[in-house]
Amino acid sequence: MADLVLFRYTYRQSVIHALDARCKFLCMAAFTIAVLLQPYGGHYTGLVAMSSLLAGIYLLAKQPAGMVKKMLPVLLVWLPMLIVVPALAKAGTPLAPKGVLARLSQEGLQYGIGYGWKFVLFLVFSQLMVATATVSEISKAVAWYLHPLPKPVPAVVGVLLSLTLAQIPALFDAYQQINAAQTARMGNRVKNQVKRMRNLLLPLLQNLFTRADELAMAMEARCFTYHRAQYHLPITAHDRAVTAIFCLLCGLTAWVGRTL
Amino acid sequence: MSEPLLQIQNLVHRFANGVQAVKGVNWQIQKGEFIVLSGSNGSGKTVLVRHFNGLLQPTSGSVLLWGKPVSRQLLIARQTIGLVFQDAASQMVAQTVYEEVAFGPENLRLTASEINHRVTQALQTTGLTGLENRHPLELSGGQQRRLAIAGILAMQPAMIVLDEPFNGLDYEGVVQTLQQIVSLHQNGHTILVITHDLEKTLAHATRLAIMHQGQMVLDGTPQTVLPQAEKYGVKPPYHYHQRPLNSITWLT
Repeated sequence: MADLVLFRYTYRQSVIHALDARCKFLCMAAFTIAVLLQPYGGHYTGLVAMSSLLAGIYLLAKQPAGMVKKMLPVLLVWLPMLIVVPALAKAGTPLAPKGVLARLSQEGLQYGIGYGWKFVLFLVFSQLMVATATVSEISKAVAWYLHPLPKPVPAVVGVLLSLTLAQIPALFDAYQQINAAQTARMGNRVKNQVKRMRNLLLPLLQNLFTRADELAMAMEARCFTYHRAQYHLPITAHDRAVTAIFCLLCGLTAWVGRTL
Repeated sequence: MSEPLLQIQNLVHRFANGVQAVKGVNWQIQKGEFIVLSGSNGSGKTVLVRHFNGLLQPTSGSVLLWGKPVSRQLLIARQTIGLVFQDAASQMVAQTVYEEVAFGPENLRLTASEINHRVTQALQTTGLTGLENRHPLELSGGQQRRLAIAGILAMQPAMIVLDEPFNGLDYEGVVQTLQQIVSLHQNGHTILVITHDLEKTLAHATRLAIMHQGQMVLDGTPQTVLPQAEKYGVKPPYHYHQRPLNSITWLT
């Protein structure tokens, strides 16, 4: 059994998995707009409401709890930066009269917290999207939305998207293996970060190109063409109802955030 | 004798860096055969079989499928000759077992019901029914190998080429994969297995061929080829001359 890997499809029997990918894209649009409408400075009621909504969806999707733990390293790298940079850059009341904290403004910190919070919401939502819809469903949905464009465009975009998304978990796996192999040989003690990065990136890129080459060969062996059969199941009343409820809840959280 | 399924005529393959991987191979494969192709690393086995369905084009010479050049009927060649690659995980293009098997039929632009029929049948044949919604990389090594075979079976090929199918598999995985291969042969598929490990499969083979430095140096029945195998770097099964040939298998 493989380890849990971020941005990989995880099958469960849930109402979220059953939802048509085209409807999921509509939900994503509604969620994105609702998050962007939330105010930044100091008022977090809307973000709390959005977080509760997302937590509810996460539970409904029956996703493994370990996935949240998997996201922590990503968050630990980005969150401090997202919070501290605005606090340093935005003018306002200093956090403390002197010392390092005097360089940070209260307004900037509040802005940064809001910004970081929104980043977490986007990250978790993206994870939920790819964990509950297969790459094929996502790429077919994208191709469906691009249908009005000239014929080859939706097909090419759909295939490129599906290949990219399908390879992300494999790249995470490869990175972890390379990192572990180098750590086993004390690679983590290299102080020069540029050298350390180069040591990790070169084998990763090599792995990526070899893999791409093998994949292309395997796809060709199975008669690959951009004009593949693409069949969609019809959007059901259940899909419409779930999408409508979700969009309504997003609207409600946006209203809560802007008025309360 | 009927027309051979595949006919390889004086095939030469030279890579861009000048290395000659295949040096003038002449070979024939008849329908219904079970061939084991062996040889040391770098002897040109994989390069040779990749010409069978036009994945590689020969520098000179030709490959004929049912008497016609493969290069003039690529689509037919890729449906007729199914190639299962060495690393099963590297040929996975989808995120569920069902979609992985459906990849080939979708490329053939079959109808939705035909795709579903072929996928269901391929999964049944390989014993993967019930795993349709699982991620391919969550399966065991043996199951992944059988999934790769299912992906090929859904294209309904006449011949299946398996490149090192037992590589990296535990005992159970080897047995599962070998059972699958034998059963495919019994169902009328022509089988070509590339392997170093004769001990696992030889009892089922109707023919054994050995490549060495890009050339087909030995080809015949296992009984005739085995005594000379060692001088081309292929390890013969233990005490093979004291055992009946049908005992050289991992299937009990």
